[in-house]
Order: sequence, then C-alpha cells, then structure tokens
Amino acid sequence: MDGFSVVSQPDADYAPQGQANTTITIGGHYTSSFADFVTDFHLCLQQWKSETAFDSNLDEITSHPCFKAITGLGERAVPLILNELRSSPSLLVYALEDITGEQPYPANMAGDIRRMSDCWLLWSDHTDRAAA
Amino acid sequence: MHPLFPNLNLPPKITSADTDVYNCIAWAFADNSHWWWPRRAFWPVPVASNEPILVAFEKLFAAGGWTLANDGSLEQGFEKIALYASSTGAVTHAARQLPSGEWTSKLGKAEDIVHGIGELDGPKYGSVFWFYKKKT
Repeated sequence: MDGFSVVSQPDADYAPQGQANTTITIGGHYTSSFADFVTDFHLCLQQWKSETAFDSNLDEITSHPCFKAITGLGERAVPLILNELRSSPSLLVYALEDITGEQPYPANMAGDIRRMSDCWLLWSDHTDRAAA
Repeated sequence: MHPLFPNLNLPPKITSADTDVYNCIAWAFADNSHWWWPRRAFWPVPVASNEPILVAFEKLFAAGGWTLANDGSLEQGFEKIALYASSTGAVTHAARQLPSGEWTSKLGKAEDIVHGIGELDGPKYGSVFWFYKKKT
C-alpha cells in the first residue's frame, strides 16, 4: 500500500492509559478523530468483556486494565457507556460512577444492576454531561 | 477442552442467557436480580470497608444459618453451596447443589450451567475450598 502507513502516537490526549493511539498518514498528516476515540473505546470494551467474562469478583472486574482505560477516557466516554446501557444492563454502571463521581440511585440499590442502569439513563435525560 | 475449565464436559449444559444482572454468588443463594460482592455491590450483611473478603463471606454464611459441611455429597434435608478459591485462598466462585446432586453455577457475566462438582476446577476458579450446608 504505497503512501499508506500506520504509526503509533502514544501521547494523544484521549489515548487510554498504557495504550498507543493510532494515527494514519496518507501522504500528509492525519490527526486523531472522534472515530478513533470510538474505536479505542470499543477495543477496550471488548477486551474487558472477554477477559472478565467468567469473573464475579467486582474488585477485579473494575480494576482490570481495560476498565481503567475506559474510565481514563473521562467524560467523553459517558455517551458511549450510556449507549451500552441502552442495549442491556451492565457493570459499566461502575465506570460511570468512577468517571462522574455521581451515584444517581440510593445506597440500598447497590448491586441491582438493572435498576442502576435505568437510573443512569434517567440521569442522562437531565444532564448535559451525557451529550455526545 | 476449555482452556480455563479443562475438566468441564463439553458442551456444557447451559440453562440461562448471559447477563451482568447477577453473578455466581447471587445464583448460589437463588437470587437472579443482584450482583453480590462485598462493599460496592449487593451484600446482605454489613461489612466494614477494610474487612477481608473472606471474613465478609464467613459473615454471609453465618447470617443465613449455613454451617461447614464435610463434602459435597447429597444429604437428604440439606441444601449445599460450594465455595471455590484460588491457591492463595481468594474466593473466586460459588455453586449451588441441585436436588439431583448436580450443581448449578452462574459463570461470572456468562451463562448458568449445570455441572459436576469437579468440572470447574482449574486455572480460573481454583477448586472448592469449603462446602456449606443448611437444613431445607
């Protein structure tokens, strides 16, 4: 592929901790795009899902490097996580807690992943922090 | 052979869809609507934030009237739970005995399966460290 190269750019501002971001150069400069960000998110998400699929230990699940990478993406990951919750209840509710510092549900709802997911979706209707 | 469960007879007898809604500990206590784990998830007994996980499990079983059992044999009038741990003693998994003598497990975020007690021994869950029993 003449004129087509893929190089690593580890210092891109959205790159998950410990992961290089990818920059594609085609006869010039290509800077990081939102599409790259979304791709990074989904790569982290799939690896986290795969490598914690059989785990019950929530401490291990939420300290997995890919989970940390997702929370490391910060507020820009919130709309993508909410999209996941729209598909099905998910332990990603804990990523939203870590990113936003909020818990939009009472303490006695802890571990009720279905209702916690619903509460995050309601939260997203009332905040501009969930905007893509 | 499954790399994480080398003793599991394949294909496994799957009895549910995969879901993040509940985990193996919940399923061992016949709850399919919570993720059970001390501190950040559902845990039906109070535990201090610095309490070792194993102590939290001991309190959980004690509060429910469970006592240690000698083994995983089928005993009339009792239900049993097997608690798995890694070689370092870290709790990894729980399974519940069925009236048939077989065991039912929710595999993390994956499906529920029915299995023999030794079938989940391996690199992922270690092996059964404790059997608990309680009168039905």
